[in-house]
Amino acid sequence: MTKLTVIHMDQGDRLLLYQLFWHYYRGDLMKLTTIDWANLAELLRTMTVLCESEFGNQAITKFDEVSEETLESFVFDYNRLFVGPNRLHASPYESTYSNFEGTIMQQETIKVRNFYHYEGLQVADEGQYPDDHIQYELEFICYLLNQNEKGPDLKLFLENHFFKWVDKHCERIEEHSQNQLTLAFAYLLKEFLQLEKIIIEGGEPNVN
Amino acid sequence: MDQTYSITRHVCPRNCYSTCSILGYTKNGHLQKVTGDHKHGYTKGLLCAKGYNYINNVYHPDRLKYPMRQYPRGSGQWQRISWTEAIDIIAGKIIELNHRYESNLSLALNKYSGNMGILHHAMEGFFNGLGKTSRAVGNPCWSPGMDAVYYDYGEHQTSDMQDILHSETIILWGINPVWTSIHSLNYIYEALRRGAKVITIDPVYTETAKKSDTYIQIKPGSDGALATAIAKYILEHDLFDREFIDQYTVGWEELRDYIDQLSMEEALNQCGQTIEAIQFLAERLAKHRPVYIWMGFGMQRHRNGGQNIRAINALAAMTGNIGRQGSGAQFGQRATWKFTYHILNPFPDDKRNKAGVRPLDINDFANDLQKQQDPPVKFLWITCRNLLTQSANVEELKKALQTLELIVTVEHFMTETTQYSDLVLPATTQFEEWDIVASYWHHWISINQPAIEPYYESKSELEIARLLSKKLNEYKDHFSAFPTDMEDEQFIEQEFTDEFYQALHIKDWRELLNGPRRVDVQKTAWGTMEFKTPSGKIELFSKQALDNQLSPFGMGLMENGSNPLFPYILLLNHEPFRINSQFQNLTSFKKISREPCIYLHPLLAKEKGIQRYSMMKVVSEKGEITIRANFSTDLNQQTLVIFPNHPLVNKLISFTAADMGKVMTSGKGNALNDLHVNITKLC
Repeated sequence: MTKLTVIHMDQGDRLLLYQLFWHYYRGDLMKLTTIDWANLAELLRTMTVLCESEFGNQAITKFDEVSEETLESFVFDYNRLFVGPNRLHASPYESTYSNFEGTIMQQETIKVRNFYHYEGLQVADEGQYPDDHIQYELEFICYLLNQNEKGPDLKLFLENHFFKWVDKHCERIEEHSQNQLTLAFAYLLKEFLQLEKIIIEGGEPNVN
Repeated sequence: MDQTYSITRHVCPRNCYSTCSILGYTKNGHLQKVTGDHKHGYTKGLLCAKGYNYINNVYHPDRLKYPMRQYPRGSGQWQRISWTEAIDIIAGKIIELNHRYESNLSLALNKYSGNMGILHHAMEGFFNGLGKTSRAVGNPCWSPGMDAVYYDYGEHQTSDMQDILHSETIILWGINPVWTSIHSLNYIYEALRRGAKVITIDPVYTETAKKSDTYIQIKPGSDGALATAIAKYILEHDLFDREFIDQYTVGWEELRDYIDQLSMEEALNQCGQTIEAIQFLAERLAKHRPVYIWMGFGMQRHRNGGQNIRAINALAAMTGNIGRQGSGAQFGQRATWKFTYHILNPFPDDKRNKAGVRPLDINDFANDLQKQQDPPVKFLWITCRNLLTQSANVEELKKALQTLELIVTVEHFMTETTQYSDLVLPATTQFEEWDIVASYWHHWISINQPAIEPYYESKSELEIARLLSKKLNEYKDHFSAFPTDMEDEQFIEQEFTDEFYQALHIKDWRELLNGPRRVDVQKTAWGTMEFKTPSGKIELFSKQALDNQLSPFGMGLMENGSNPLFPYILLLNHEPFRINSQFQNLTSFKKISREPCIYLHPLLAKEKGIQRYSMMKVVSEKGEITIRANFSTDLNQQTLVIFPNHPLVNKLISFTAADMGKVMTSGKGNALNDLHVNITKLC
């Protein structure tokens, strides 16, 4: 287990990381260049707590060392893990990990949908895309994190949903990844999740 | 949030006897459960295990989500593309090939029965709308039987299943409804309660056989020989129905003379029966009427498959068991399929570019694909079909596919076939589209309406055909004649005629939204005794068959097809929870059978030194496979069984033409159950 000297990330960094993962899972980062990735590495290095963690550091190093070769196979590996058309090696849906048959759009998905509805939000084209895709959950977390008064809701959502499955999701990526970038994101997400758990479950009164 | 369900009507479009009507319950755009539809007069509100699992199918995490492109083909490197890109790539290739070869013959379509809905003829319609193209024709399932029934009766009819309640004797000949047609069991059990006796004739001691009063285990493919032996006994003991024969058949004297010459001993030897069994069956047929015979599809997947069906038809006819309530030799029907099929026929306006088909035999697709070189096929569209798990000569097929420039597959899930494709397009399920579906067994027509939005980016085949047609016409006016401006409902509307409405007792197809309708055909097949053959009678002697270089009689003995190098027969039988390779990936079903296996009798295994659950080798003339051995005392010691739900078995199969099929389905059937093999333990 990573030893942490500082367990606190400020609100801005947390939001930035959630947004980074949100864009990643939306497929927005597929066309970044090696320079873009190096810039990202530089930005992440400013977050001391990440740099000093084992997997955070590995992830940052991987971003820094992205080669053209890595970029070439990035999209294929990303599709293999999260998009298809083959059986997904690391399904990005919560219900895959919580439904007993791995079926999506069941009770587990609807619970996530209900959470969105409770906050007055709805996935565009609801019913066409499963509400518990990680990109929607991340977007929702960003929305809650942005508003100070939503702290308790955020805690509830993270504890009842996001924290419950994303670890397993990261494990599957680590197991099946064939690309340095998809692996780097798994490391980063895994590490970030640990930090978030400490903040949320560590009982800090003001998560903001 | 809306707390009420909206209820929609659906039909299971799979290749199955039941064609169940389904109700979908949707809340807030989410399909929450499916049930059977009580308004369906045959399935009566029941589904099968597959049907009840449709939710898991629709919302399966592995379902195809987006159009994807694989480059290079077979590499497993998939790129997500937009529909616009997909349609551009396809249209671009069609135009390029049209310029290169100055025709559209290099375009081929291979579609089969993965979805039997009428609107799923859209791609055939699209191809027809391009003028002359190449097409997989024929039928791997029932073509010999269809020809046989045509030679005997001139048309394809079945009785309502309720008719069986009037039967004294029920013969389930080569059919295992406990596994493959569960809805019929209510009727069979009710007939039993009313005093009928059920006899199952099958090479396998099936679940159905176990529930029957009598079981006759015959040698695979010897159904015709058994019918001949019974007929011979009936003749010798004067048990035939002279009055019926005189009135409703032609060719009796000729058939009689022919049967007289055949050896009873040889007939008994071929089907593996004693004279006592023959006597029992003959007396049931002649003295315990009406006799309802249900012929399964397996017996006609032999070199003599059509003859087998004709022999049983003749047996039913000579005992007066046709056209009378509670009787009949049932196979399959087309009488209720009164659609206009306008969807198939958007012929091009340009008279120089006439529609037509360059046929590629669906059963010998690999070879036909390579044979056609003027011009060669360069573009293949695969839909409603898992070509690579359900084809013969699979290695040749893979080679032939390598010569193609673009392979497009429309699917719900990744299959062996999609792995060999350049483009994979995600299709909607029956819960996301309109359709109408009829049955080849019962007489009910059901509507299918959308319950939910197309999942992810899936589209119906009709929509894909429209998009493609529109794109092609942007390149060149009138390139494609497939309508681009008609709504789904309009496509449905044009399939009905006033006559069809009359037969359904409705005035508009939308009335089907209130429940499925029975087509007003005779409740008992051939009840009016008006046969559609040239003679207007049942043709025990068929000149049409003779003209097609076949025996004019259905009855007859088999030619010796045994091969000492391959002394066993491997049957490809259906299993209860899947239809060939469909429903493979349902999690709960995976627990039922985890890995392919072959069933053999423990005594045969002992003789060969094969342990249960050990790996063994199976060799045919075509190839060999290694597979896990499983024991079954339901088989005799010369017969093995495998469920054809995975591509492994295809390595053993080539195209062996059955005797019939050309007339009704444009190609002979494949004698899949004449698969002669040898087995050894794995050293």
